[in-house]
Amino acid sequence: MSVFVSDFTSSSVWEVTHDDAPGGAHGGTIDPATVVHLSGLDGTPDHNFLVVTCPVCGSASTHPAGGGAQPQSVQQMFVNHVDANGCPCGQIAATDASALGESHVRLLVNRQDGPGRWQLA
Amino acid sequence: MQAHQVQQIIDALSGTPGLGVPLSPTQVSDSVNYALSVENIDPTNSRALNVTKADGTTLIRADVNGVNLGNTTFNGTVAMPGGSISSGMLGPDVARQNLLVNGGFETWRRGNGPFTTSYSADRWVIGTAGTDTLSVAADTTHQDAGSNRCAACTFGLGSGAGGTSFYQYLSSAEWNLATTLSVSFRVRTSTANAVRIGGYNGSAYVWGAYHPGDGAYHTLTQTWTVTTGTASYVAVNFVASCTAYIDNVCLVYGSGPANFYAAPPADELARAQRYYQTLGGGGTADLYFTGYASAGGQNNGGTLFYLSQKPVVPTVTKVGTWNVANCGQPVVYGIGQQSASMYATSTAVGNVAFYSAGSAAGYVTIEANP
Repeated sequence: MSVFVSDFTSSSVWEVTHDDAPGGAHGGTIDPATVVHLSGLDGTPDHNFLVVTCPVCGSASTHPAGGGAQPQSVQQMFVNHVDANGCPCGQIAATDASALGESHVRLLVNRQDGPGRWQLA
Repeated sequence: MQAHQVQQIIDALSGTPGLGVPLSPTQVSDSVNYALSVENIDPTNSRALNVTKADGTTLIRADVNGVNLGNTTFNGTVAMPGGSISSGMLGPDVARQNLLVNGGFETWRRGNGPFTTSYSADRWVIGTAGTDTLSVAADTTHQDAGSNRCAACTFGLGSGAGGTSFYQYLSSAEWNLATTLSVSFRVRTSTANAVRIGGYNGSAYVWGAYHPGDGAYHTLTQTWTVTTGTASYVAVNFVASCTAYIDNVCLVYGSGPANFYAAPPADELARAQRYYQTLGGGGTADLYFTGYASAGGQNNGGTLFYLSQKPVVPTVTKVGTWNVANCGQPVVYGIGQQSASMYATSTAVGNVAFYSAGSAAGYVTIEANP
């Protein structure tokens, strides 16, 4: 599937699974701060993508806001990320209400994959 | 034919009141004669039998042109009124297009497992409930006749209370399935009343009968109508601890289930690659990007064109550590439904290259699950 967050354990630890790793699935824990937005050629972060790196083998999955391989987990990751860090586009600050961040992520999802893609309750 | 039977026919044809009785059943045990034979030796038309309805139209006619039943003629080929055969009248051995991806469980491009969560054999998903456990792996020993592989499912019942399934999801993002569907599974297990199959009608699963648990493959079928929404699931449901082998699943439109027939391998692979594919990994440098940097800190890269367009923007994974020359590890950039790009940043002036490192690592996976 990819390198994805399988358990949002706490604000400081996330459990990550790399389920189609060479030789079989593996996983571990990461600091959520290591999940970063994809950087453009000029270094500008792109709020449409987040990169999760496998703590075991260094493989890196670039997930779209829409969810890509696993929409529910990935969309939740975007919501948690924007809630903790704000959005690099400047529309959402880390201090904003959680609902505002979630609505921003939902907007990104709708733009990317269409309105039927949102899978969070 | 005996005289009193001939008299019955005469009475019937002439409409004699009270004597329109049927012919008595007759046992004819020799290898030549029939209970009723009518022969017209006219060599041209051989008009042997003509039975009409009250309005004079044909009910049954038998002559040199074959047997005519009014609207259906049998004369070596069958000519029936257009639209008179519904899908429910088709036999299961009439091959029809399978709506599923990898219904034969021949493709395991994420590996052979065992898988205990989420996706396993391409589009097939493990969905456990409560403390239930379900392990799914490719199996080349217990597959159905004519198959090369099946899915071996080892289920442990916990607190799931029958909520664990092994399923394939047909998303409303791609399908409009507000219609009647039929599915057939080949299932083998030695545990009675542990495994059943079914489909989702938009609000609930419609389950079929359980496998009898005799250790043999059985064809389990179910038909349902999607009445809410436009998406559906087909699933194997586990309600008691067991080991079950699942193979050759076929989902078709209509009320008549169809047996599984393998699609051409090229077609099957192309359908699977719409959702999950790898690029590279076949050998060292089967993905190769090169350029020139006039200084450190410059980006060089190229485009990865997918083998099949993805249904939504996919997740792209750079797997493992790539071989690099005069640059850092490459990163993925610019993901779309048809392509993505990768680049690496130079460390100094000179040629820059990054390339895949072979089968164990150094390739790309692209996955989109609508």
